[in-house]
Amino acid sequence: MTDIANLIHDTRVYSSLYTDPDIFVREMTEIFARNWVYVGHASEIPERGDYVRRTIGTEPVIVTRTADGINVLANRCTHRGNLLCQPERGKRRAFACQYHGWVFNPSGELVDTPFPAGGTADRSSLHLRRATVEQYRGFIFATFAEHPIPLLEHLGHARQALDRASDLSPAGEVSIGRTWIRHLFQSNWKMLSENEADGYHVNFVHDSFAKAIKRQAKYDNVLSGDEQQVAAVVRDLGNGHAELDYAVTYDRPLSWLGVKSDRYPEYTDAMTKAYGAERATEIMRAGPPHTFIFPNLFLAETCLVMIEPINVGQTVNWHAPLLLKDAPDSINQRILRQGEVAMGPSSFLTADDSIIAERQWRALRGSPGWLDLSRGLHRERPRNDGVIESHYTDETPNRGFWHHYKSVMTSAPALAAA
Amino acid sequence: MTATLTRVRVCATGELSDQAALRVDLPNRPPIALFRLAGEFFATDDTCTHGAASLADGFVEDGQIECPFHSGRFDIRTGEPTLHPCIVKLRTYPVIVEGDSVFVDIAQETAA
Amino acid sequence: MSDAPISETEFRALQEFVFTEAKYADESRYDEWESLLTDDMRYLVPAGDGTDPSPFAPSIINDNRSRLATRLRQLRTGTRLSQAPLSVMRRLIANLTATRASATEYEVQGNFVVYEYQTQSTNQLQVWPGQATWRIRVTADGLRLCAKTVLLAHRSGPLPSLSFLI
Repeated sequence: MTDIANLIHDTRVYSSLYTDPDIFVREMTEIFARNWVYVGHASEIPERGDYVRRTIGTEPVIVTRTADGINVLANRCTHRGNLLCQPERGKRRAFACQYHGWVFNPSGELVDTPFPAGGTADRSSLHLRRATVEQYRGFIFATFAEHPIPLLEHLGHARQALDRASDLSPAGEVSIGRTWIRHLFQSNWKMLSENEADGYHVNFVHDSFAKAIKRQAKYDNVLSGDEQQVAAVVRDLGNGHAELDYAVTYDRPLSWLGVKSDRYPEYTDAMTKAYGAERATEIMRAGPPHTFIFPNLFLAETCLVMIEPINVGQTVNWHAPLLLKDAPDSINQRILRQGEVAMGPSSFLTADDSIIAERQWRALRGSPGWLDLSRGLHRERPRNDGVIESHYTDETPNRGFWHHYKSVMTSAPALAAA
Repeated sequence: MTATLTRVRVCATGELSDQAALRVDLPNRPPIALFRLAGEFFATDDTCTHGAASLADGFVEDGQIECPFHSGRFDIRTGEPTLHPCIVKLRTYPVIVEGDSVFVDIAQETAA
Repeated sequence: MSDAPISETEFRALQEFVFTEAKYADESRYDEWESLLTDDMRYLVPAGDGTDPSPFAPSIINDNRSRLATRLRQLRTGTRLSQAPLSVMRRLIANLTATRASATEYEVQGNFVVYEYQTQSTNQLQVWPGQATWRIRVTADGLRLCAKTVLLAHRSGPLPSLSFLI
């Protein structure tokens, strides 16, 4: 078995991390199953019985709201392994397997087996594998680790990003709808996570976008081409989380939405009422987060993105607009429209990122080697709280990701029993 | 063994809706499910005749109750099974309404 | 709305328009394709399975004329990686029906499949089947496209980059 520690150094990593199928298999257990993985938002399953289908790594799970809270169950019958639930979403009080009719309640307990006279197995041992679940501001995380660290410990300095997204709503909550867009990348999942907290590529990969739009706000800053001018920053938040921050380029409220500050008076009023004038103004000025939360969540400003690994060379990037609860329709419409620019297979931005990721993967598969991640090492600025900040184009976020990845892959906490 | 009919108050009329059944647990016997259809009240056994499901967890539609386990159905008024895999008739109970209280006549079996 | 049935002549003109639009799209002839559009043209490629009633449901493409102009500007730069180099495409259109939508507009509906040879990264043949609805207006300059809605068969599943004109 490959020694992962030999493949990851401070400023360089080896390409097989992206292309070796054996490493991918290990990641599904060590990076995904053993850690806190984002599986959904409370607003997606508001009523008892509501469920959505998600994955933890490549393991299919059912995320369902019960009378007592939210359960995450392995979507696999304990009898002969059938997929228990095929529809992407719905409402059920029980999950009946379509193979032999075994029925599980929403806690995963086996409650009914047809033609019971022939049964010999002990029902209580045939319950569905169940994850530990914790929520923060309605963002639901799950893990199969036997003794997980508290979610807040995992989130660490990424917690402020969930706050930043939620606080844009007068009710303090985001709202995720039913429709997701799924963008297929024929490349490794880590190429997506790296791209999403990378500022260096923007001038080049998104050159056509820069030329096509009327530049304003953050784009005016980061597409200026002058290294000294670029004011946006990158951060390694620790625990594998990373972000780009454009707040310093926004000089007035709502410039992140590309509108004048007084464009949505109803929204401004609702926010002032909820937070007080001073705080509301600052929330509306600083705008939404652009934060990657290890290993699979990306708060993409006006969209929520989930990274779903399929196999070593295939990944699906899901996204939905990050709507704001109790905000006027006009602002949610604007958020929807803004999200369409950035995310999705036909978007102005990510459609081109997938091409790069696919070319990268193909090139590395055929031509393995060491990859350089040294950019900005000489000028990054560690803060007192452990967060490391640097110039928008520096590889600080990449180094942070790999540092955490290495520590996770080379330690071995237990998994909950299957 | 003698069987006597006992009138048991199960709920208030205001507790029942047309959209869902109400499960009522009674001592020393299996639970009962109460329904309201267009202003009239009905009662059946709550436990499905096909498996261990509580019919009160199921869906009411077109005068039928759909079991949450395997989606079989019964006619609420008569207890007759109307959709496979339910095939054994569900026991029904006469319902009496007095004021805003709903009563059911239950046969209480007592040792001889 | 007139009840007069579509004449053979009208149908042929509509079909020819649809085939011309398809040829320009296949061959990435952006200027000529754009010249077929009205000033209020709407280009819509919905996502999801069609059961979401929310006005905030995202779409794969939801372009008013202004956004569509930006999209074409981006394609014309020649540096949009997802169409640089250009995909090589050929689409088939069939099952066309036409109805009169108003005194000046027709609605044409049909099935299509685009065969796209993706030349930017995977070098694979991609297949894009679906149903399209063209809303075509009679103008002083001839027939023009005022709306196109494309329902991809696999729109609720994972899609690779779709930067060409579908």
